[in-house]
Amino acid sequence: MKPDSDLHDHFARLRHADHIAAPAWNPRWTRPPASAAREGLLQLPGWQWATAALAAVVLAMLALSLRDPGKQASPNLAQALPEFFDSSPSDPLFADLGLTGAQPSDALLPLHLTIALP
Amino acid sequence: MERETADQLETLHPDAFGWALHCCSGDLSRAEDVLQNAYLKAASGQVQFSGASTFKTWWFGVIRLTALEEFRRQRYRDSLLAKLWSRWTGDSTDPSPNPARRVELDEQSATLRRALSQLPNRQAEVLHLVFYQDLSLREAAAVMKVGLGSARQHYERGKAKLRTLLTPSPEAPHET
Repeated sequence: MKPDSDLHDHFARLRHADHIAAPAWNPRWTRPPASAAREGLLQLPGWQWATAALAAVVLAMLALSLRDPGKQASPNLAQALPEFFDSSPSDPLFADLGLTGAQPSDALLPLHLTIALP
Repeated sequence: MERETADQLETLHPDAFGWALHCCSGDLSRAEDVLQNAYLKAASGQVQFSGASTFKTWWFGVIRLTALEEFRRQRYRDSLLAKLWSRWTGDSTDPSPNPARRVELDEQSATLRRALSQLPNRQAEVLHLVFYQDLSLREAAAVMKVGLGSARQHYERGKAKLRTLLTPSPEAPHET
């Protein structure tokens, strides 16, 4: 008699019942998913994503600090900026409003609008 | 996936389901999920057979590992936070197996499964691998990632305890 035949019988019955309950084989299960490569990239563990994000932030901060070396030594703005207004102009600030006869651009006006002043 | 590997997986499919079922404590729906995830791993190349052991030993190790991962995820889903989340989102799943399939297990099989569930996990695993899957003790030890001596000890103790559990107690009260 086979040793442990009693246990073998019990397990054989369980095996038979499980095989009945097993889902039918589907050949699709063995086909690689269409986006396997993309999924492989996206299935990184969470800590790897966090480390990569932290490294990117550190690199960006480092690049910014290297790109702006004069940030610490602020320039004298009064000397660096150009002078916009002349404190002692030679010409009057506003043009004379007095009319002095015909202007060169009067030829561009329509004829009926050309007013001959006395 | 290579044609030869796919053929081997197809041949092993019923037994692989039985092993997944054991790893999931008899929960049919979870066993199906575990097995499909294991197939996905094989199809996408996440796991590859190296030839260091038999194909069946390797594949059952993959299923066992996948079941452990699924168990951890299930533990998270069962946590209080996850329950609150599922209640808020209205997404609730019934963890119990399909009743139509449950009736397919006869009473003796159910008795054996109940007895196995009362054994320590390692003992139940080694008994399933040896008696159900017809693996040698060495192969069972490889699947379980334990030494041969340890597997043998679990095997002997498990057999003795399982026999005790399967033998009807004479002192059990009879229903009238």
